[in-house]
Amino acid sequence: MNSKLKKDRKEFLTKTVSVLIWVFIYHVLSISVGKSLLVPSVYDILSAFAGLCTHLEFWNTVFFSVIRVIIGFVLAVASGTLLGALSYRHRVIYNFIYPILSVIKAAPVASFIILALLWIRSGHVPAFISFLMVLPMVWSSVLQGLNQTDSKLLQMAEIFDFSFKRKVKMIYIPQVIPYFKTACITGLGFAWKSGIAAEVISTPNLSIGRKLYESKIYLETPELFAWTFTVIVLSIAAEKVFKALLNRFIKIR
Amino acid sequence: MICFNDIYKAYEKHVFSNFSLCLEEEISTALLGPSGCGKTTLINMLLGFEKPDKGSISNAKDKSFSVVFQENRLLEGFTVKENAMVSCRDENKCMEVLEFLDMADAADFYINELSGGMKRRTAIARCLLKKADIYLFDEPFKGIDEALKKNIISSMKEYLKGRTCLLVTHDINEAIQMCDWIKIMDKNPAEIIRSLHFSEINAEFINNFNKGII
Repeated sequence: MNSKLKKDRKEFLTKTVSVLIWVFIYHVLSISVGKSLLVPSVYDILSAFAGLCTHLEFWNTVFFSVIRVIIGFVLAVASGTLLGALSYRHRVIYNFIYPILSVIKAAPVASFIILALLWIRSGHVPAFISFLMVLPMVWSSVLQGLNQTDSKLLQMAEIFDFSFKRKVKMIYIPQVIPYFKTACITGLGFAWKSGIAAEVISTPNLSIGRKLYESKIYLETPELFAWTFTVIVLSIAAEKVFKALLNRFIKIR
Repeated sequence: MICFNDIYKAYEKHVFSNFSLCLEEEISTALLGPSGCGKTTLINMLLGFEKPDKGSISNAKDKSFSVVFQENRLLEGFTVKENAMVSCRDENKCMEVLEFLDMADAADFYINELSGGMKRRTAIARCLLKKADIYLFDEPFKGIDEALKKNIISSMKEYLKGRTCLLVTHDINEAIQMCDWIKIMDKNPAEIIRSLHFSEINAEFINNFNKGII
């Protein structure tokens, strides 16, 4: 067995054991509190989750929540990349965009969600909030990557008559990719959290956020935990799928 | 003829003061001198990357240049062939150049898979493959194996016959093997102290140069 495989297996084992230890700690906590309404047992959560999975509505809810987050995320990645490139090329665009994106970065998500509820339909708020949270992240990372471009490589490109297209392909893209990948992976997590938070406040039909809110209102704590568990599973799965897609389509030596 | 006319430039601890130098066209010239005497600055001025504080460079603006920079400046995520062919579409010509640089077998290697000497040879290939009026070489053989260097220099000399070249080096053997004219530079202030045809240079001269007597 080669050493990489051994290392991977060890890593997997350590992670699994860590998860089991945390589940055990939670289980002990649940027993010591002794009130399912406050801290439901692992069994209660899993049975609530299993119960949810048997309903078609659960899958519809998950599907629409995922779609909302993905729309916001994809739009943010596309616009952030474009704005990052334009800000690098034209200082005036950077100066124009910088204040508004700094405000978005600094302001609390809840403020934007409530404001967005005044401006747009509640069904569109989660995608809009995911977009708003990811946009500054992608913009600043793309810009940072471009600003780090080696000026000596650009001089070389000038001497060897690189076209704009070739410069983008051979110098700028390889330079930006590591920053872009990190921003996208971190951004996806943010898109999830902010998107679901927006759903909790805007409560659109067929949304995980609405289900979380209703579980809280009706004191269905195991369901609340089951929906939270669903969000965590989806978030991890989305990150894995997205990482695999990035590695497949954006290869860098 | 490309001329540096009465150049004045202060940089770091060194200085050019009323420096003049002419490079004849279709001839290869070596600028030989100690580190820090301003050889690379002259190349940067020719390429327009640095400007003289005073003085001018004549007949350089309308010329096209190809260069082996002091650093390799290669594109890490691409192969040797992709790097070499940035300004040449002729794959056969590329392979011919890589062949005499002993890099044909490594044509599909990525830059981060190469040794220092191989990276240097890739930078040389890229330079040779561009059709230019003037070829500039800044310490091009740095890190290349001694045995290989001799073959490479003789192949390059043949390849560049009749073209305008400027080789910057501190190695007198490289200079006389590759160039027709050798100009010896001194520093502080930078000046050309000797200008010789390579045939004028004998073993005694080389010995004296290496001992620092010249």
